[in-house]
Amino acid sequence: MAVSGIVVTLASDPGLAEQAMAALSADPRLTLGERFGLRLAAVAETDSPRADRDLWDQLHAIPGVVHVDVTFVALDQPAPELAREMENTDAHA
Amino acid sequence: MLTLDRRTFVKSAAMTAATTAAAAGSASALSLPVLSQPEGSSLKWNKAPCRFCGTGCHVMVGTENGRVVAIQGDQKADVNKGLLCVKGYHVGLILYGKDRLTTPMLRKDGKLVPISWDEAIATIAKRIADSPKTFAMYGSGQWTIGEGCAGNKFMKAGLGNNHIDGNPRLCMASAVTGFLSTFGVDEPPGVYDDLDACDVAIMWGNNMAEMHPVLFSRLIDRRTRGEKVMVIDMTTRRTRTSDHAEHVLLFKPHGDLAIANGIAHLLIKNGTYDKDFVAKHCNFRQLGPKPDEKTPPDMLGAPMTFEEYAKAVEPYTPEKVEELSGIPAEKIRLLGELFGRRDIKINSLWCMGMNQHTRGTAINCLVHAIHLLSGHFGKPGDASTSLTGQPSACGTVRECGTLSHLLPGGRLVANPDHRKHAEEFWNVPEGRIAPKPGYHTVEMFKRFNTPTDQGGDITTLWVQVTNPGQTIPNLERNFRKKKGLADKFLIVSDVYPTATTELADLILPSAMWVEKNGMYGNSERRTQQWFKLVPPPGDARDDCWQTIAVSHKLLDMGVEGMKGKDGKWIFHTTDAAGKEVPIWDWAHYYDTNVDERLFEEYRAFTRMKHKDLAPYQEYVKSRGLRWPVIQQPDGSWKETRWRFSEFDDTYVAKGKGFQFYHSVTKDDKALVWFRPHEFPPEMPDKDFPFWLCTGRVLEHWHTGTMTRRVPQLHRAMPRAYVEMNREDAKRLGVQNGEVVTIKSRRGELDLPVWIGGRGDPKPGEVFVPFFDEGKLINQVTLDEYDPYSKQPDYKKCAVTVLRKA
Ligand code: SF4
Repeated sequence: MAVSGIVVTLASDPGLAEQAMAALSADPRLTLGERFGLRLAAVAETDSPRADRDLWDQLHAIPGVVHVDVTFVALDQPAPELAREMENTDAHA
Repeated sequence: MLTLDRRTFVKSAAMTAATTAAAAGSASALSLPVLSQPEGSSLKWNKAPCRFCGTGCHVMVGTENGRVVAIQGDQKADVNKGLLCVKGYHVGLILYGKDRLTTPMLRKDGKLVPISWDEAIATIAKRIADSPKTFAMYGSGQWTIGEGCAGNKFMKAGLGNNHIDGNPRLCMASAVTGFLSTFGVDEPPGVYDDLDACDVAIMWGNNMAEMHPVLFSRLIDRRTRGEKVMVIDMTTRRTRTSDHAEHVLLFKPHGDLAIANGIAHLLIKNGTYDKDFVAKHCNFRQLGPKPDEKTPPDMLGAPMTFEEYAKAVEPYTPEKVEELSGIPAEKIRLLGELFGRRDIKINSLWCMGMNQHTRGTAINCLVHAIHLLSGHFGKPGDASTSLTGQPSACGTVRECGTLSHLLPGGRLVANPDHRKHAEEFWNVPEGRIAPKPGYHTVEMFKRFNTPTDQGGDITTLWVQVTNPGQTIPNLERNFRKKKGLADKFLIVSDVYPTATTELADLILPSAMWVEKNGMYGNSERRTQQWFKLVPPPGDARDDCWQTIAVSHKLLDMGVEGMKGKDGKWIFHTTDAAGKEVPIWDWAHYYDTNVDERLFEEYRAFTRMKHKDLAPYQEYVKSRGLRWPVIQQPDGSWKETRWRFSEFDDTYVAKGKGFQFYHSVTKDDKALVWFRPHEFPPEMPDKDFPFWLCTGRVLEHWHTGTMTRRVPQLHRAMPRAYVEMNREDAKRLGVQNGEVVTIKSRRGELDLPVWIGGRGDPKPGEVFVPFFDEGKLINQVTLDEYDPYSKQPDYKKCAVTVLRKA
């Protein structure tokens, strides 16, 4: 499980910002919180570090999302699981 | 109070953190629930600075059952106000790579075999005792302050040996010589608050969006609040920073020297320089004559008048600067006009682009010069500020003086008075510190990689908390040659296997980050403290303990230098009752706070250059304090933001406005330097027609030894590549992803091509990141360095691009 607290900065163009809000609300991995001007608080829940990374990339690709800052990450993944993941990569082959 | 199950609790904590950060700077008042932890949870939160870059963000570290289980940005931290970058929020995972080093290993018959700590310490002590003068230590801007203090004292005050240097020599030594030449004292006068107040931010070869992302967000975020801030990106390749810039000025390598002189030319020609500030606070300087063919002129230079200075910059007309730099003359005029305005604030920012430069000292001086000349200095938003890549390049290396020519607190090895002070503070006999500076980094590695009978007079080298096997320029010559030299002995203290441990004769497993007590000093003079929160794995131990244990072993062996003036061990430590604490014995190392002891000893050094630090316990309470930290009549401690400015710096005399109290000319004035444009030592030609620039990427921190062990970061940026301009690729018939050979006069490397990727070099340039230990680009780079800072230039050399058959 990966739980992250994030702040999404929306575009200043109101149309684009609304479009981004609609896309973000429809994403089941996100729980949206309060919005302060162009800044939106949210929580992202994903099943694995890979999904976490994918979500990060997808958020950045949404029109009207200018920037995503992460403010909290829970790292509840036990070390052996990480080790297994890394075995499948070539980082230290 | 709410009682929640664990997942709900974690979600609520995540939403609280996000909401608070989102609301920061907004007018809305917040009312957040007070969360209790799930029943039975032993989760604890503590502060620590981020392990990575010199920004010095603070994180809150959640620990449970001896493990780091959560990270969040620290809302109480001024630097990052609750935010972290992609690296920072994964910082906890760097502790848990599968291949942590957990036991000492000695190479026997060519193979590394596990040994005990006793054998490891005895092996090092014997190597040193057998030949103390050919021993060298190579440390790091990731050394904690305690580690740096222990290493420096051990070498300079114990062994009387100045061959101790640190990797900041490779990343910010030219910033040091720039500050020293201009202000007579190191480190930026300004602070990060300048980012909140400037109208114009100029990036001098500085990809801040990727290298100091939280600072860049702090700057850019002002736009979302309706504030206007103009970003000017002066760069040799387009980067993510360029995407946010109003003006992207792509210049030729070394063109920055011409640009700065061009701005000075316009300020004088248009009469828009700040006449009052210049008259009251500036002297002018140029290089003096060369003492001989091989020796560069003195760094203190020779005086010149304002008229001589004006004459020196006269040839740098916008058209001439266009020719030298490639930047259109009208853009040079724009820069001249901006600097000439009194109604705006300008913050210049730089990092490796200006420092890794064979004229690094010169360009640092020139950027300070245009700020002084124009009076864009010493007011919130008006500053010339260097940023550091490492978390404690400033705190540990620049301030504690862990370079071969320095002593703590801004003192110099070559100055007899400074040696005397250091001997007094360290309580060692007069004459213990050798008068000659030791070898700087490149020289140290050259000598270690040269046969002993051919002048290679470094035979044992101890590397702590850094990876020179990946970062030293011209690796084949300056690092890998050691392999064939039987009498050379390489000791490496580290947390993971690296390109350096690959050639090590002895590997020592180290504790990292919150597995030990520590202090760092970030880019804005902020000293930060944290406590050990989790145990290190296996038999890994603190680097500081390793140094102390070797020192004690040498004491046992009768090495005189390990004793102070009073005949006691140089690291002698007692408890409150005056009883000796055996800190050389790991079982008792944490019986006292060794960090606090070393810091308090070091603190005495800091007054001479007005870099005053507060007592250790003040840092325990705070998220760092920026020096000079001055005690107030009520006993509290006040940090300083704008140095040399009367309104904020206690050391400026009343009525002075500004006072450069460490002035080189001893008249409280700063120096405006003239340094001419010069071409780089190696330029593209018909055999090697491309410029090569190397650098970093957002996801990986420096050589990637930590961040490549974090799956999320590794996957985001798995391996090195070569960025090429689309026109060049087309001309050579190279496709995206195709593997090409990058070849220089020193070596070659195969890399996949990335066209239109993250960065976009100009035609005739290629860029390669250096994080990938499988693709060592420093086999290709040049080992030429700045004559004053001795910092190598990794940003430009000539290469060719060859298609594979
Ligand atoms: S900007 Fe630097 S200090 Fe801040 S979180 Fe990122 S890596 Fe860490």
